[in-house]
Amino acid sequence: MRAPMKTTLPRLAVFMLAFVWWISAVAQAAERVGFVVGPNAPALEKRAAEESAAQFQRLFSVETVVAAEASPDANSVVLIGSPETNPAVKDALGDNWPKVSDQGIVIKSIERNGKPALILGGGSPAATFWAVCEFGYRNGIRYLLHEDIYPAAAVPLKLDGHDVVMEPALKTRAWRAIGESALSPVSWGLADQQRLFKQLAKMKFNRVMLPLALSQPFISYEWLNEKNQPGSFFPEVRVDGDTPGKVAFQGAKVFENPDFAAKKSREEKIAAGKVYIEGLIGAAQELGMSAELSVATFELPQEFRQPRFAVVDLQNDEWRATFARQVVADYLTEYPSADDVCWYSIPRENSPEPIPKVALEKSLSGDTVKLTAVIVVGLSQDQKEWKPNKYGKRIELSIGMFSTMMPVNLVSDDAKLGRFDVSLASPAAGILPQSLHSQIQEVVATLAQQTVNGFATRYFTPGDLDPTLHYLSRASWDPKITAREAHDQLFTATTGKQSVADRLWQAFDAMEKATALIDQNDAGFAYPSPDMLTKHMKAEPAPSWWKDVTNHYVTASGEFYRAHDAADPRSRKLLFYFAKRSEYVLEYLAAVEAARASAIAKMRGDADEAAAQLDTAVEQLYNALDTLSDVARDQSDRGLIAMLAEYAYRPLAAEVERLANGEPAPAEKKE
Amino acid sequence: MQCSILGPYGSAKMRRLRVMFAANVFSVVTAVAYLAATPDSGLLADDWPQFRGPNASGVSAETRPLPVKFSSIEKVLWSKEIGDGIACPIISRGRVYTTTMSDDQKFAVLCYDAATGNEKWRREFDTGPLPAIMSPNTHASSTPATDGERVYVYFSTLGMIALDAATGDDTWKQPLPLPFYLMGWGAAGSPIVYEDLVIFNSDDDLAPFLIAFDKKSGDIRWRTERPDMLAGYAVPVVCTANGRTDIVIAGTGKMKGYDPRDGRELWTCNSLLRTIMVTPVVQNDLIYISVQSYGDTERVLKFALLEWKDTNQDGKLAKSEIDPAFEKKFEHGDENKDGFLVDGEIDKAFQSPDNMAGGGNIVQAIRGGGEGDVTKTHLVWNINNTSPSNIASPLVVDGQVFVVKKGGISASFNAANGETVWMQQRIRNLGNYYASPIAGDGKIYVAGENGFIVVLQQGPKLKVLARNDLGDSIIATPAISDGRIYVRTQKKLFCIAEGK
Repeated sequence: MRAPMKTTLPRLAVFMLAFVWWISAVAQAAERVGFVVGPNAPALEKRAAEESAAQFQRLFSVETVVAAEASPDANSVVLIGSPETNPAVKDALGDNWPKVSDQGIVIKSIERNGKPALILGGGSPAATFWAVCEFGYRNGIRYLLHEDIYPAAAVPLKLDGHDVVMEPALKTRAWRAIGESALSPVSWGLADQQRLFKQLAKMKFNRVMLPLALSQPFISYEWLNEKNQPGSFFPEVRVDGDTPGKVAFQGAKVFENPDFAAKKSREEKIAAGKVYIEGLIGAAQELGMSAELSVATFELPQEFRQPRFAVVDLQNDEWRATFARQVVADYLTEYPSADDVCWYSIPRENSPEPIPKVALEKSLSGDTVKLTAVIVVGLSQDQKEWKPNKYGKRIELSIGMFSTMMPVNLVSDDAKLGRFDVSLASPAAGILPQSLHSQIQEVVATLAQQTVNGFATRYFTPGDLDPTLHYLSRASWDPKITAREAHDQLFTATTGKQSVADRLWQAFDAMEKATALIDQNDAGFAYPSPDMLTKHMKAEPAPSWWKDVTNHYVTASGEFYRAHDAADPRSRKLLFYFAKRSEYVLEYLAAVEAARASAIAKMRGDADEAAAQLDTAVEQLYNALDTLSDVARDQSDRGLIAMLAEYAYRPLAAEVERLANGEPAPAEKKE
Repeated sequence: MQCSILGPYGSAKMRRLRVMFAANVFSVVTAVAYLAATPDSGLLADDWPQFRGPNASGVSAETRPLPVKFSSIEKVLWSKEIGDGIACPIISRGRVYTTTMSDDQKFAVLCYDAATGNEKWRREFDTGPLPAIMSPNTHASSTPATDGERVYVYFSTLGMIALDAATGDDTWKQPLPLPFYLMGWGAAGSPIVYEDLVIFNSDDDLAPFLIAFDKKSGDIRWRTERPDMLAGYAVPVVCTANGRTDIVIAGTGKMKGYDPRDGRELWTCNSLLRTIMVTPVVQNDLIYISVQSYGDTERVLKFALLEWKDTNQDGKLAKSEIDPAFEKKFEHGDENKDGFLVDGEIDKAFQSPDNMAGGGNIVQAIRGGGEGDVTKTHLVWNINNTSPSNIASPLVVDGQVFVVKKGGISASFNAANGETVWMQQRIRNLGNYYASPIAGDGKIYVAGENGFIVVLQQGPKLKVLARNDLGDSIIATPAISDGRIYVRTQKKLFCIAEGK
């Protein structure tokens, strides 16, 4: 045994040394890509260069160096920016730089010093950032609300053969970044919002809307010598004790925006609010998105509804204008960094003119007047007499959007503000997972035909929006892309299989059918409200369409799980999220059906059956929130759990308790 | 003496109570005897050395008072943030051990002082790339086992590892084949220590086997294939009957007894269902099991595969729809070699023809110590109702079999004859139940996934004593040792005791 070992060991050592040398040689030979960014490039272009370098590393397994000059040992070069911002681009293209707008994207292959090179640039720093992301997309990255999903394996680096100039068909791509409920991103901390904005920027969104309500602590003002007394960012919800799905809150007792926690006094609240809004404005602008404050003065805040303010009548033009003038002026003063302030009004009764006759405009015209639009909401189709004015034109879209969505918008001619509010969710289906994956195609086509500048999103929670936002991000630049094509681009790339994309199409299709059925049949079926579940406790047979809705969601759930099982691991987390949410909706619907069955049994005088059905309703609802908590990935998801616990679970549980104690129903008490 | 007042037989109720009392005493004696039965084991009577304590019974010999009311703060002796995992805590010689994923590809074994929570040692292992698994399973799911000298830990990509219990130093390692699961559930089996052996059952869908290692050296003493099994997670238990001690394992369709000396299959009781995720409980010479397996008795594996793995829903399985690890099985089933599996071909590929178990619900008692096929001779009682959980194992205490499932719905049966003690009563805590119930000091502790632990009074009537909020999801079965309860939530480890 010893002799062979004597010869084997040295051979082994030589082999090992050779192997180590080979490994290091291979490592040294790794492709090196130099990224050249202008020495005085705007911050966003430098950020674009860093982003692109990071993407190249993961996509192509290459080494990268970002500098003002190409590294001599770089095998290839990527120039970031435009002739205006990067001398290297100017040198390389000279007069051959394509004529592009400030949103135009340029991806162009060139040769530089005998090496393959690529220009990723655009008509503005934001457009350059989009060019970087577009190149990443074309090489397999998919941008989602919470993550980027990269190809499973490294992609061959190919810098030649690119000659892309893109201009958007929809120039305004606006995201509503906050709202007034726990479901909306107003429950998100600033850090989470910043991450979300970055994902939106990668999807080439270019505007962030910040609709501010007077009840929120985003402004300090006085009205008739009375200071405003704002509440929270949104009504906090307790999530302690018996809250179903409470594990999602990690021991917190109250669900609130983390940046607003423990703020008690008026001053503390407003200070936190200002930091938040300024943070959002800054985060958007850093990414090349404009930030718009949307201010509504539909009604007086609660604190001004005391008797001494009785004189104030917002139906009166004078008061209306006075109040609006002050509020809008205060917002303008408070947030000078905002790009625009839009005042939302509602049409007055019996008047074709939405703007009060008083000199709102005049009174503000002496200011910097970022009041660039007056948006009128609440128009309905029968208000045919309403006429456009200098603020914009009336757009009426004959598209099959949700029944409760206003098909009429006042749309400004302004390039940035001329957008159409697009509802990405039906208020009727409310808090249920929804889809409009095929309908959205019709919406975009109609917008493009109407020469509308763009869209602004409306939704309940960001939860199910990934496929829709992906479609919007692609169709905004290519309105001819079909919903199915965009769906396949998203899901074949992320799941690795066309067969999985096929199943997911079936799933979203079933969900869209369910959404449409609810929308057609019951405007308030799952709209978040304090009686959202107890209102279904009516002693009348369940409508037949409920069964159809359930069947569609059963189909969706099966397809999501099937897709999940077959998908590449990269996308499983996302698909599991969809699958679990489809499971949640089945449990929610079972709770609704049981609540209805309980009411029917009660009417029959079958108290035992009524109690048993109510128990079932409570348990199904509990399971629904538990299921949501399994995949809660952001504050809106947690907000949904908190809100359903407050609006749906607790009223039902109280009803069970009341029955158990033999107490009369509240209505019976009155009698 | 009191019994004599009632006459020679007493009332039916009293007879039942006597049976229960005798069984309860026996359960404690069994647990203590089990610990004492391991020569050179170094275990103490208070130890909880493996999944669900002595012989996986969930029953502690504890006589010191255990807390009834507690919370994530109240009566907490100590708590630690330990990271993500669902491995149960085990306790031996004043130390508590568990595992966690300390990073995406880093597995850690943790050791704390059981009384103070001070970290004694911590070992981390690179796992390499990990297979996809199905929630709520996590990669740190296997519960370690200990004999007081060493801690034996299983991890899917690392195999079996023995660490010095005092220092955490490596003692031995044995790689094991990576398990594969048709439905993507992931590994979750746990080892046990029996005499001088570490025994581990790996029921996956590819190549299920039972294996025994020399606990000191790690040498493989024997390995027995279990080709008629599908994926399952039953932990082996020890049953002494007819003067013989067997290793008993519940698996697809069958409860089987093995000779611990050589791994030879001694007996099989073909009365179980398709998917077995629960662990049976041994008391006296009876083995109790409660199982819910999805679907009816006709639902063999084929239907699940066609429902979930037939991605394009064309009614047949293509090779691309199945994990490549199963290629050989696929080809074995593909009789006409058309590249697809249909109907009987799917059965042939993946489910043993002599074990076409389907779904259903059962609670059973099987007498140990048999030979050959004991289905007709040793199935003592068998009831079919909807009480059992698919994951939470039964608890046998006070002469009662106690089961709990989703919704906090509990049932109890007379351990002697399967008669109903109570049926489908709620323990007043909704939600899912993955942890198995445990018992000590006359109380039953039932941990819900929602983070609440319900405390019940042991006895013939369901009596809820308390509902305690730990504030974090609980999947792992808690442990009892030395007058303390150890609860591993999704992220934390709590030590709870009276008299904090």
